[in-house]
Amino acid sequence: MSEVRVRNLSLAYGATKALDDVSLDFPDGQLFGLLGPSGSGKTTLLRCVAGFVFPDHGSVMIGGESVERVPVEKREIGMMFQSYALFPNMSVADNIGFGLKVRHLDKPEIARRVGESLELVHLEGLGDRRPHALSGGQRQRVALARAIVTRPRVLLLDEPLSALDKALRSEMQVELRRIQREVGITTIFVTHDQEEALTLSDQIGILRAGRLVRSGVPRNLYHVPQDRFTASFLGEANFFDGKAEQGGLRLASGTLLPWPGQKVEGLGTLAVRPEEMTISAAGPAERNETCAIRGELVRISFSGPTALCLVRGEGQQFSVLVKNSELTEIPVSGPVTVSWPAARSMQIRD
Amino acid sequence: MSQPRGISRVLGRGYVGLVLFFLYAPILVMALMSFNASEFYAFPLSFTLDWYRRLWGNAGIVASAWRSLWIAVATTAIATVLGTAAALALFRYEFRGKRLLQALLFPPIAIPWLIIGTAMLIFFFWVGIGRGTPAVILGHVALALPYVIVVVAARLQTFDPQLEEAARSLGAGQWVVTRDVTLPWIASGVVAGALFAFAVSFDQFVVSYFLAQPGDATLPVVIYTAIRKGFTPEINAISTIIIAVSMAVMLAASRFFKFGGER
Repeated sequence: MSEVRVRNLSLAYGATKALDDVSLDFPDGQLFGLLGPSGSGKTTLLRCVAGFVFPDHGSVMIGGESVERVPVEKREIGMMFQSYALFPNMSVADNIGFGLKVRHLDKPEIARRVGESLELVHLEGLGDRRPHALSGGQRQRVALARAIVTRPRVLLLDEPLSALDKALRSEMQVELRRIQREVGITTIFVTHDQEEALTLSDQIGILRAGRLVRSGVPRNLYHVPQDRFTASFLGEANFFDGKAEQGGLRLASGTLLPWPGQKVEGLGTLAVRPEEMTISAAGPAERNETCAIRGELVRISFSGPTALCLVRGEGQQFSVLVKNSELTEIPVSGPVTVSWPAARSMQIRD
Repeated sequence: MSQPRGISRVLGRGYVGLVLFFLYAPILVMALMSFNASEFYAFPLSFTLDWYRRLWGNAGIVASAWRSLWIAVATTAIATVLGTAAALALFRYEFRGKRLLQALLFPPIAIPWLIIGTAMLIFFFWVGIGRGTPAVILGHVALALPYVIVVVAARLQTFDPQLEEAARSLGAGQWVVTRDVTLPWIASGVVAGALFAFAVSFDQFVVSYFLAQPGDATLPVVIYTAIRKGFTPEINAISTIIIAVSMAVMLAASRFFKFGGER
């Protein structure tokens, strides 16, 4: 087990900067999620750590050892691919044992460790099957077992769950987390699914156009996003722009959003999560600790346990997430007041 | 509805029948005559193996047959190894001039063998290789190589490159990756390519005719020379043997390589 550090990684494909001066620490034993839209460089970063691509500049350290010049096969990594990449000409047991055979372990030892791995991923008794005779979830487990049976220093997962349907995906998220904890291996995984990143990760790094936007603990990033991209990419956010004033942020319409923080310098934009807001028909009494905005209810989109209400107000549109049970208290359309505790406003600094 | 279908079915079957007839009737006649006692193709057929016996006694033809066989085997071995390696390189790597190289692979298949043979003869004399068995093998390899590359490359189209990456991530070096992961997948293509190479060499006349020394000609060249001197049913016999071998090889090839249909 070892920590992974990358420093000042840059890589360009022609004029496109796939990675632009990225520095990041992946702590020992943690599950680190790399999140970003397609083309953000998250997969390139993973492949730099794996050794499939070599950076133009910067360093990659695994367990304190510099590996930029080390080819993939000598890096002692485990990797799981989006397509699982199981060898079709080998049985499940031979797939899992491949990395051990390559390392010239003797046969009884290989058989013992393959057996242990099958147990770890709950696939006892399926060792003789061919990959094509397995379900999607089972293939995923085999791919995971194959990647960790060699006891690599770091486990790399490229969109590990994106090929599974929704129900299986959430089941495998729990499984992945369990196995990663049991083995205690430093893990880096790439995803474009923000919910998956939030659920699985000890820490998240958010990339955009080859640059690291932010990294940190999921809750922290979610509740204190600091920049517009993080706020809107990790969950949803409504933004309100205005001017800093004693006591809060003054919007263009004249509405004051109270700010509980001590300092108001640099205050220009506030972000609010849709689920922190409440809608009511009558205007509530304006209090110091409550932000309130008058607006017009445009549309309600119902999605099972919750509903998303689109409200027009303050010269923009914003969304409010309402619990199903609260839906009855809201008028179908017309003037409404949207309010939230002032402490739930998040300051955006860019 | 059933009437037009019946007519088109009859027409279709008749067409297929004619194609097969003109394709195989000459071969069948030749094969039958190789078992006919009469030298002048007289009917009724009286069965004999005499021509095969005389063929076996003809030291020149038998020697050239063995020579053709081992030249074909050598060509197959060299062309298959080189062609497979080339197909893998074209599949795995991006390099300067790759497109041009791929484009250059196809014309040798289209250029008439007569012209290639002449060009090779001139070139081999110019560089000092001259005529002889090494020149024949060199020429055959050059003719067979594009076929092997095309067939193996077609098979590689269905190969997931992530399989190679997965094997490397598990600690396998280039050679182990190729042996344990890539070759098992493309094996059918490699075998089919080898059979094509064998057929190109074994049936080769023009290039062999130009490049072989008069003393060590290959079987097709010996047959041609024999026919010029005067036709004997011995030629029917050896031709029947060649056709049997070639068809067996091509049937085996089509079994391994279903021309892109199979995955």
